[in-house]
Amino acid sequence: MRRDLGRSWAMMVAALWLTACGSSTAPDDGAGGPPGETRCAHFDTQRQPFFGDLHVHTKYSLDANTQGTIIGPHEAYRFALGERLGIQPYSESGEALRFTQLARPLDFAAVTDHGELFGETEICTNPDLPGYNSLECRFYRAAPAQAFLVFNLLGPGLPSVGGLPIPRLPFCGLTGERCLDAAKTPWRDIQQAAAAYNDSSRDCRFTTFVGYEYTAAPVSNNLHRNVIFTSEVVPEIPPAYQEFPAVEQLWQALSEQCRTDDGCNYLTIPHNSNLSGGLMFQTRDALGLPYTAELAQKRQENEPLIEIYQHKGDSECLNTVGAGMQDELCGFEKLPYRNFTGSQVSPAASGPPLERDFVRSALKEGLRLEQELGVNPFKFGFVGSSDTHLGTPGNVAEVDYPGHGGAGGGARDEVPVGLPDLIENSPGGLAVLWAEENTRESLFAAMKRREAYATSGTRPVVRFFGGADLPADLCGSRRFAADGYAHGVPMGADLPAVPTGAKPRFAVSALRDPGLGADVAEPLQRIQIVKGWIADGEPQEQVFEVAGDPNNGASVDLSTCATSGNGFASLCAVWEDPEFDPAQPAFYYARVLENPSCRWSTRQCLAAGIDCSNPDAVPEAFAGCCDAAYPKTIQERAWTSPIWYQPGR
Amino acid sequence: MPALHFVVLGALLHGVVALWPGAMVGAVHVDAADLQRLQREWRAETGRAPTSLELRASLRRYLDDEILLAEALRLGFDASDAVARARLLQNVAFAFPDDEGDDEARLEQARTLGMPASDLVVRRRLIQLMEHRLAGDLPIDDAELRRYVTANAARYAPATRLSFRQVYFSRDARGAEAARAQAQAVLPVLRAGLDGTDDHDAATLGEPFLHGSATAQQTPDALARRYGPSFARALADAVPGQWIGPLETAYGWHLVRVDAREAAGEPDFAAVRARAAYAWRAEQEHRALQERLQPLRRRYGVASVDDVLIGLDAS
Repeated sequence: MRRDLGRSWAMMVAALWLTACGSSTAPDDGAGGPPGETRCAHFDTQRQPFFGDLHVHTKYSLDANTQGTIIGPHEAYRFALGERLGIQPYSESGEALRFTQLARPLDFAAVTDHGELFGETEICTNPDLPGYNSLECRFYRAAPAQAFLVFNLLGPGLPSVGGLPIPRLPFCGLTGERCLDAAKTPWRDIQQAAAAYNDSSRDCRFTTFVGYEYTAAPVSNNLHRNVIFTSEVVPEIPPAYQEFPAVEQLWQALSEQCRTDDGCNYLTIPHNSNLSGGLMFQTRDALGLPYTAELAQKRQENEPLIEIYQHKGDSECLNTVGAGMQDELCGFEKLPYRNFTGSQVSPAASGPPLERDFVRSALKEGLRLEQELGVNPFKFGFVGSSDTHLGTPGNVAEVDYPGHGGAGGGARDEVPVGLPDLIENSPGGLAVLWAEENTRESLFAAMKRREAYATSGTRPVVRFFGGADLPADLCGSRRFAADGYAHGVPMGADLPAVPTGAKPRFAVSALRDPGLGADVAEPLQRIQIVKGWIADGEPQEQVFEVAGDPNNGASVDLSTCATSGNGFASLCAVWEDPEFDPAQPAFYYARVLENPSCRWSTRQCLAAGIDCSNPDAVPEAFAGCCDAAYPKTIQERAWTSPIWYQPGR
Repeated sequence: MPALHFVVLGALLHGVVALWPGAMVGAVHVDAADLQRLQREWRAETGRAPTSLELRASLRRYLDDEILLAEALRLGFDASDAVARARLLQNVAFAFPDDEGDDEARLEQARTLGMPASDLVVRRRLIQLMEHRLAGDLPIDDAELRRYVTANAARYAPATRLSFRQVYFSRDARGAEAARAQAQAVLPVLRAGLDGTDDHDAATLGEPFLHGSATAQQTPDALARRYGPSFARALADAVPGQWIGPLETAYGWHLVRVDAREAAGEPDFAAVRARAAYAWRAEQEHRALQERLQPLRRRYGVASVDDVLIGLDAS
């Protein structure tokens, strides 16, 4: 048995080594990958888009405003799978009276409850508390760095554990005795739910990730990160803000407690930089010292992605100050404040949002810092997610947005009593990953190499390649992806060397969201390429129209929410940067826009028959309907991860 | 009202209950204001008033939460649980910054003020701890588990998988009607001459498509999400080896030849057993909790929602 364990261990390490090697940008040609029988049936060497949600709160986020609707991690994953979920309260005979269901299932999801509320660390560090002398805590204190979980060793062929009828998760220890004593805890339940719904069959229908949210919010300024683990091997206790109050301390703790050699890997995804009060992209460490190359490198390695859009607004760009800023499309789902004080006290108490808290500004600052330090700390690819506090991943449609008040649909035919959320909030977005197959390894590798894009909640398909050698006729080719990979790099990567005198070329191709059932979607309107660069030490930016038609006449009838006008089922462009200067570092990302449609609030105001021409008759709970500061329509969109150009590379 | 809570909770905490079981009756307090609040919350969540059945369910839920909270306090979880304890100490330190008492005195202060019930985080934490204690680690029944796997075949059984080639006629490039007409015209060409002979040439009869002209082993569900439900249904019903269409999608028209169909299978119980066990147990916990709450409901004098409602009417 010991030898068997050793062998599976070696295989696991080998598999992880292969995963690590998968961070190159070229897709697997099928020759060097894992053997055929371990692959998903749908394995595609040219990769395929998988849609998911990496930011999901359930009942274990005790601060969540969940009213009576309390969905745990198991139910959250079942919801993401598309199952019809009975929700609280239950009748006296225990039957659910209300149900909720996602119109379109997701391909993957991660439950990310607040690690600070799991409360497991103190049990082990406070001698006054019962449990301090438990096996679990003795193990934790004796070897915190080794306090990882070794699930794979307990996989198929595991020894029978004390006659227990099911395999125990690894935190039970190799003989399982620790589980016999240990109480169920949120962190364990979260891991069990991830194990329960991760489809390890050849169908690969759904992937889960074990994760949690590191909830750092000094003085109401949001520095939150979602920590995502690549496998079942995760730290015994998630490193939380109480013990590790600076993000570099979090990375240090994770690097000690989640080691590649043990089969553990992680990344951290910051979100809501728009609410960070100027802190998310500050370039000083916990002691107030300026970033070093080492810290910049750490940030780049640990944070390959940023959540650019979610429930609490858009963090792409603010468009207030700076060279070349003429991007009216930055005025998208903006919160009018700079930290949580804005939503919890008043916008005035917070102050307006800050340009430096937005991702585009950080990307430019990253280029500048790379000139200074030799390393770019802000090399972010993009994802969107929901940040649902109802345990309902992927519930991001504008239609029938339940707000923070309830997930419980049910009868919608009666007059609603008010807007279900603050007028400035949104249903949130989705994360899309280009991966060979829907497995943890393949998706995680896509996240690490930033072959990812964000959407505002709809599901357009977008490919983006860069390279001076890309064929100019790629849009008419049947080998868009194959030639994109062969002659260039995909979204998230570094541009290959640009020959002297040549200009970098970019190819972007998009399919509209086809919609499904209640999830209606609009056709595409246009594609833009956003360029940011540094000229003589100054950050610059420009937005180029590359496909479609910004004046296609698409419009929305605000009295019915009916849409009209032509759009595109697909768009494609090959574009050369006309102003390319080989001496200037730059990034390029694509933004794909759909035709406009009614915002969630407009739909609900309409359903309630609110008439803003008679302000006295508008109920207080619907006052947001008549707030001219917020748009009536939304132009759903996708943002691809950037491709970077570095002089002399 | 907090004073009354204090007396009741204090009695629970100090073990008076054991000496004087009659004290349990009415230990979980509910009044007309609670009932109105439940109705208000329902309206806020769903946009409508609860039906009688729904209101009774809400009340059952509220009473159960109160029981779990009272039991958690009886067992001293507010002092022993890390999250509850830290939160209560923080609350007291915030409310009485000049107070120099030790932690135990502060916790006592928190109890006196009813904080474990009024602080939402502590309240939820204590209720969850009691739920886990009552129904947290159920034994697995293999026969039950097999039935569960069979009943949830969509999760555990191999899905139908389709491999196909397509020729795509773009609505944008040709216009909807012309795209359909062209597809109609090409269909007999494919059926007559190109069947299985030169797939690349077949694709060149239409436009390039971002998802490619050949797709391997996708489930009908995945195809419905990419192309729409009618496309997925048509492929699931298609005879392998034969070109069919034109099929309409949001993108235009498609001629499709299914090359291989792997039929859905039976669940491999051994392979899915561990996954299913976690899921099954999570679902059983709800039922187990209901069962194990039953004696507690009696002990706290709120076994019947009807009786509680009658009591409210009477007062």
